[in-house]
Amino acid sequence: MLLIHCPFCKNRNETEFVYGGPVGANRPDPNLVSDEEWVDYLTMVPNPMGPVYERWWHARGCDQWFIICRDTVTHEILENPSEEP
Amino acid sequence: MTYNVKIQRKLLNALFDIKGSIRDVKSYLKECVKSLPVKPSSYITQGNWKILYVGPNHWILLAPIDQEQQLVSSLRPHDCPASISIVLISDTLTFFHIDGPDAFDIISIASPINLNADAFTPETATFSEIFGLKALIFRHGDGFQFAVDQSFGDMVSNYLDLTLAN
Repeated sequence: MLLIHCPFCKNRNETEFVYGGPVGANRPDPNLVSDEEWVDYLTMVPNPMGPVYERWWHARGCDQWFIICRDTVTHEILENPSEEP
Repeated sequence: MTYNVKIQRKLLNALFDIKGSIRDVKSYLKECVKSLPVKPSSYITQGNWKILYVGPNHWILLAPIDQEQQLVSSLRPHDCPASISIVLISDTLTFFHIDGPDAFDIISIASPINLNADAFTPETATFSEIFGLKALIFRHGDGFQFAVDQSFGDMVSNYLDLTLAN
């Protein structure tokens, strides 16, 4: 069971949250990228073995969406990740 | 094992869901609400009203049901500016009062929320889970008060009976 830090409610049980998927790349301008890059943007989901930025929704709490950085191997939530999403 | 608690179900309270920036909400409500809580997940009391700060730019005003019409007249939900939202939600939640020396144990069974004194202070008010349902929880004297969606009221009542091993 994860203890997730909500920016408003502080530490709460994982069951109060809904997973919103990994944070993907910023939307490129479709007129400036190749077809291959555009398809990658639409279909490739970050799935690293290690730290990944994820969106979570505090559905049974303050109703806020926020981003955390979670290590997919250890489930540790990193407070000071090295890279911004 | 039996628990030394008294559980009461209070069907209705006057409830207003208030959203907007603190500046706009304060400005609009200045005639009837003296101040708003600013600490996240907390509440303040004004007479027999409670004002709960339950989310970013989100407050709930709780009052006895017999004051609902008076509050509708003074809050004027239909006339509020577009930058804020005031919605009467009195009939959406049903309340349970849990009082007595073992109230802490009952909430501990029902909810994963951290009830330790440093995390859940006497002025804490927050949404969390009760028996897996979204619930508004706050302290009530020495015990707790929580509210769940009206449609789950009977179910939660049964679960509380089972918790008490009645």
